[in-house]
Formats: sequence, C-alpha cells, structure tokens
Amino acid sequence: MKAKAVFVSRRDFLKFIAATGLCIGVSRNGMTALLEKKDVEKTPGFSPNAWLHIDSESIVTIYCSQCEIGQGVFTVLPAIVADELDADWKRVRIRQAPIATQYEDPVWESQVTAGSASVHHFYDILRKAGAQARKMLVAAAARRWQVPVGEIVTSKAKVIHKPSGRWLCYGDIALAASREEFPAKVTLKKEREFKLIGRPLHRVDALSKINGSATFGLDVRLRGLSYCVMKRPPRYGAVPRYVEKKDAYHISGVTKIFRVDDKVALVATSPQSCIRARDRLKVKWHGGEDPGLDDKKIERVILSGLERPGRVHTIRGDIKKAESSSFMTHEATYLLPYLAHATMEPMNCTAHVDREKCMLWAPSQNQSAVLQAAREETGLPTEKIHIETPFMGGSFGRRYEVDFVRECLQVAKKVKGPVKLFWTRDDDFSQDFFRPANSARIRAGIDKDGRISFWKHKVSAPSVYWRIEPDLLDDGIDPSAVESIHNSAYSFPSLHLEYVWIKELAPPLGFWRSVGNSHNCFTVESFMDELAHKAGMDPVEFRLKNLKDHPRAARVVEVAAEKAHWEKGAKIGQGLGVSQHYLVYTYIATVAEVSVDEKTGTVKVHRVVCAVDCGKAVNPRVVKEQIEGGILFGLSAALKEKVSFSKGGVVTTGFADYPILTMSETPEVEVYVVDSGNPPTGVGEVGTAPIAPAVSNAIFHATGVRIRRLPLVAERVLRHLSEKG
Amino acid sequence: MAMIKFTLNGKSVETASEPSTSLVWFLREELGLTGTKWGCGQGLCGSCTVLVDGRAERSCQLTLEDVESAKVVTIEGIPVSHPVKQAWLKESVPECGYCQPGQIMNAIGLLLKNPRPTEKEINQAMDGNLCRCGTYNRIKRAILQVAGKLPV
Repeated sequence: MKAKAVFVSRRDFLKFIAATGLCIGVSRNGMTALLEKKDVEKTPGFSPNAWLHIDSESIVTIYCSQCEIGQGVFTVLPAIVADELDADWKRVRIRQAPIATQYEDPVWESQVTAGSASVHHFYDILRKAGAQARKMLVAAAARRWQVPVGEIVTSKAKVIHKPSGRWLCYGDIALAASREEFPAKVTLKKEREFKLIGRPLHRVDALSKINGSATFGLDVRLRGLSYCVMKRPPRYGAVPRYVEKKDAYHISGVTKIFRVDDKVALVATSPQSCIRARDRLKVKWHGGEDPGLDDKKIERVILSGLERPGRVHTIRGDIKKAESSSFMTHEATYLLPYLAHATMEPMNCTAHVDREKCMLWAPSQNQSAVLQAAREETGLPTEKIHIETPFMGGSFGRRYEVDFVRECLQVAKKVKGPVKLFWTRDDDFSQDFFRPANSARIRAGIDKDGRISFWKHKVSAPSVYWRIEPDLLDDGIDPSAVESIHNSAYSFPSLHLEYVWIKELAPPLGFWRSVGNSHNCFTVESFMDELAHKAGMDPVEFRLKNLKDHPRAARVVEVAAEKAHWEKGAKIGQGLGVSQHYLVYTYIATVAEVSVDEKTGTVKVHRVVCAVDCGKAVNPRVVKEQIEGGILFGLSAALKEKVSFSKGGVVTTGFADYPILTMSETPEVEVYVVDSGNPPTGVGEVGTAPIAPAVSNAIFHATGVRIRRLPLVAERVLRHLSEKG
Repeated sequence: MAMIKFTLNGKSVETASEPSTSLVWFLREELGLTGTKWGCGQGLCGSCTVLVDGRAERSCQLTLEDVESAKVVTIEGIPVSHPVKQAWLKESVPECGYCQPGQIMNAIGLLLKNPRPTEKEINQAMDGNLCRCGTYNRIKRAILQVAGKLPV
C-alpha cells in the first residue's frame, strides 16, 4: 500500500486549495453528502452576490460564511438560500466561504462563528441573497420568452412559464441572468411557501464524518510536512532558563529545537518523534506569575470578593423599602469552578510560510482573527495569505481563540516547508482559556402572593472580556458576569446588581458555551427554587407567577412541565427539578428527573425534558440536536467537571483527571420546540446553562439537600447528605 | 531490516517502520488513513478505535509490533452499506464528527462479539468512547437498530 498522494510543488498548493476546500454536495436521497473535488469557482455562470453561484449545468453552489464546528451550519444556512432561490436541494453544493468582508457578521462586523448567532444574524441576509438570484433568473426568462414576469414561476432550479408550460433549467439562463439588473428590492416567500426552511433536513456533512473522509485540521496532509509540539511552562509566567537539547536530538526524525517566547518548539518528521523528543527535553524553568495559585487559593480569593464592594451595574427601585416590606427574605451564596472546553480534537494548525506567501489551514471559528494573526505574524499583505478552514472537532468557544494559529505561524517562519503544530491532550488542558470560577451571593424577598419584591445580586469573578474585548468592560463591569441577571425574564421590581472584579488569579479565560449564563442561570435558578421552597410554593407555579412580563418564557415553562408530567410529581425514589432561562434571544425551560444513591452520593439523571422557543426553527432536527447536545455538555460540567490548579499552574492533564459525561451517564432527552411565530434566534448555547440548576433542584427535591457548589460529584453530595443526617 | 506485516482493510501491508511506531500515527501519517482520529494518546477517549482481529482496540495504545500478522480494520475499511454505518446515517448521529469513526468501530466490535446487546451491554461497551457534542442517545439508538431491538 502506498502513502496517499500529496503535493509536489508550491503551484500544487494552489491546486490543493481549489480541490479540497471544503465542498459538499447533497446526494440523491438528500440525506448524505459527498466531498466534491471540482473547482466550482472556475466554471462560468451566475453569481449575483457572494452567497451563490449557478453554473451552466444548473449546479448551484452556496457559500457558507460560518464554520462547521458540529453545530450544523453547513446544512442550515445554505438551505435558507436554496429555499428562496427555489434551488433543487439534491443538486446544491455547499462550500466554505473564504475570509472576506462580504461574509462578515452584520452585527459583529467580523467573520466569526460565535454566540449562537449564525442563523439569527444571517437569516434575512441569506433569504435576500436567494431571492435576488431568483428574481434575476425570472427576469432573464421573461426577456427570452417575451412574456410578463408575473407569468413565470420557479421550482427545483427551473423557471416555468405557466401559461405555455415552457421551462428552462437555471443553468440554461444563468449567463443571461447575470446581465439582468441587480434587484434593489425583493419579495421574500411567505411562511407557507417554504420548501426547505422548517424541514428537518439531514446534515450534509454526515456521510463524510461517518466514512472518515471529512478533513479536520489535524487531518491536513502535505508533501514534506513537518510536525511540531511545544514544551510548555509548567506554571503561568514561567520562562525557560536553561534548555538541554542533546537527548532530544537523539530521537530519530528530530530536525529542529528552538525557543518560541516562553515555550520550546520541537520539530520533527513525525508526530511521534515530536512527542518522544519532548519527553527527553530538559528544561529548567524560571519565575512564575502566581506560584501560590492552587484550588484553595482560588476558592478563598473568589469568595472573599463577595465581602468587598464592587461596581454597581443596575439599581432599580427602592431596595431598602422593598426589603423592609417583604413578606419573606432569603440569602444564599454559590461557588462554581473553572471549566475546560475539552474538544475531542485537540488544538492544531498547519502553515507554510515563506517570504512570498503564507498558506494556512486553521481550525478556528474566528476567521477574521486568523487573517489578522497571519498578517501580523508574517508581515505579508492579505493577498499573499491563503487560509483554509477545515472541519473542527468541536469548539464550544475554544476555537474563538487563535493562540494555536499564532504559535504555528511563529514556528512555520523558522521551518522550511509546511509544518503542522499539534497539541497533546495535556497541552489542551493546560493551555485552555477557561470558563472562570465564580461566586455569587443573592438576597431577595417575596410578597405575600409569592411575587419577587426585590433582588440583590453580587457576582465575584475574574473577567472574561478583559483580555478578549476590554472595550466592552463598562466601568469595570464584565458584561458576561452580569448577563441574564439584569435582563432576566423574571420581573424584578427592584434590582441591585453588583460585580466584583477578581484580578489576582492567573488562569486565562475565554468563552465557554453560554459564557456568563453558565454561572448566572445556576445561581438564579437555584435561588428561585430556594425561594419557592421557603414560601411553600410549587417551583413551577412560583416561576410562572414571576414571569408575567414574558409570556414566551412562561409558555416554555408550561410546556416543559406538561411534557414532564410535573403535576404527577416525581417517581418513587426520584426528584424533579425545573429551571428556565433566556439567552441569545431564546427561551428555554428544563425539567430533570434525578435519583441519588444515598449510600454513595452518586447522582443519576434519568430523563431531561425541555421546551424551547427559538422563534422559527429553520431546521427542527438541528435545533433539537443542538439543544440536546447543549444539555449534555452542561450536564457533564454540572456532574463532573472542574479544572485543578497547583503550584502556580494547571494540574489537570487529561480525561483521567477531567472525566466528561459518558454514554451510561446520559439521560433520555426530550426536546419540544414551541413555535411562537417569531424570527429565528440562537440554539447552540441554549441547552447548556439551565441543566445544572434543574439537576441540583431535583437533588433537593429527592433528598432535601441543597447543594450550592458545582460539580455535583458523589463526594460532595455524600458530604451534604451526612451533614443533613 | 526486519519488516512488519499485517493485513489492513483486507490488503496486506509490509512496512520497514520502527516496530515501536504507534499504530494511530502510522495509519494517519504514513498511510493517509486519517479517518482514525487522534484524540488523547492516552487510551481514554476512544477516537482512535480500530478493529484488530475483530476486537475493538485503541490504536494509540498499540504499536506496529503489536499488530504483526493481525487483521486490522479502520473506518475506511467499512463500506457505507454496512448496517452500522447505515444506522448512523439514518439516525443522523454526527455533530462535529471527530469521535464518530471511533464510535462506529467500537460499535462494530461490540456487535461482532454480541450481535444482540442489551441497552446495559451497549452502555458498558461504549462508555470509553467519549463524545463532547452529546450524540450518545443517537449512537445508542443506531446500535439498538442494528441489534434488531428498535424498528428500522
């Protein structure tokens, strides 16, 4: 057996780009997908805008500005274009769009796949793009047949003259259409005219991911490829004082060992040689940013933040007055850990840099930032930089960062030929940009009717935005630390919201699926449950009473409760817990059925029922998958996850000490999509936030034990159970 | 130099690579069979699962020496018409897709050993194959389908 064909020259590089840029064709049964090797851009045809191309063979190519990180954008977004275009879905090819201003997110003014925003932000743009093309095709047909535009209909990539029955394929008039005037205004379809939007289309990338042909970042193969791993500092802020390379160079295949900032790069002809050489490399490290950093310090620092004044984000109403006239008040403090992204595909990047050009294969969801990094690191102008975006083995916010891209470019500049930088699993944990630890103290009251009278909320946490987007820190307040509290669906007649910025902890922070919602939903929804219990009210009834201003939020709570048979109560030996949340413009309610083994403290989640109102579900299958996936991601964190630190650095090294949810721990998940007739909003992050409080509330229901710290590991549950006695 | 021989996806392979070469890297980087994924290198995630003489094994924990004379099958060696792959398509299992080749190979290993596994047996056999996107329920349904325990 011979090694797979690779590339012989620089010119072939460019051919590679043309040939293997992610391109997917929907197959005949519309269920599966094929990787296409044809260079569609070179064929003559009709490209009225950046989003589509129709060639003379009637092949419709649709460009997807967003990256496919598992969330289904390659299926969902092109279907929006195809529907308004009246394309034949079975003959649509989908291609990753290049990095270009036309593909920037209209809200964020940057090409980035984040914030559950792909459908929400691009829905109108993509519909319009399809409708523009359709209008021009119809105009071209009307001109050719000399008939009024109104007599022409379209269906499955054909223009049809209704009175005469004449028809043409889109490809037949593609060139003529490109000479038609670009329409300033288009009429979009009515809901009932949709053929693809609202249908549970199968994912176009499924087959390539099942037969192993999908190219992820780590799968990029090039002739003369070198590999690189980094020896990394064992603690934050340490730098190599002394590097002994001799033993490492003895490993066969090792070609180069050199320092890159605070790391040492090991380049070799095979990945295994890199890893072996790294094991042999002796480095003496010097210094450290925070040598005393460990789990205890984190807890102490974060909790002590609650004892000092912070910056006030919101003051609404007269808290003092509301408190003194409250029927009942309650207070509680919560603590949440640092969390890792732990994508299945570790970070990696491939680059070929020389004086003339930069070729980059960057598995990052932040395309604009990749381009900027390439410009900065190589000093080359944009036209000499070519970037490919491969499939990504998960992200959950991690690939918003481009640190691994910069690292790769720094190495590639010093290596002749292409180089693939890859991170080992322990690198992936130790170099993560974590979801921060966080604590919150809530004090609130209710009136005699069970309505919240005041809500006082203090958050103590390091800032996520400080490094990523410092401009968004409003008067020292991190927007993620307070999100979903000041704009909660609950009616807080008086609200006092305060943030204490913890600056003394070294671990770098990043966006982690649902960001601040992952903290704030846990604290708010746990506390709501405590209030309901204290008032002797049913947790669902109590929530509904306080969601009067948000009928969509109330509706999802009602649907989830009904579908979970809340009225009937928990099964014997189980507890039921509920939570609701509003994030990325979507409403969600979650009910968890849980049992606790009182001997071991082990929590078993049997079933999760969830109702979601994300406006129009463009692809109900993908919506349900995203909600279910989000729930399980959040459940994994709630039950198991916590990053550990010691001696100034990360000590978590892999799935042995950072176990994630497995199949046997996975509950049945039922997702109900509530159609409120609104435009589509986000789903990717929605399931993650509300599952932890639903489970914790169910533990309380089952055992009477209230746990205010995560994760809900057996040891912690058992401790609470024994304290209760 | 001593050559190592084994059968890969039905074809015989002979290599002069070092006997201690890790199977996952050999498959991926030397033969270009990148469907077998590298996820942790610690034998803890299952992304690199292949069949060795019909048993599901972690290829990151095996060397070429370990598979001398053995029959190795990777995701590329399983035809799309295979009932497990068909069930995966029908259930629309993958999201990011990175763990799926390993999941499929592990499921095939299970079904070779036990063609009609119970749900509990599926949980036991599949528990070492991690998925971060949360596709476990669809994976389980796909396996139950092949086992004839769910209507197709």
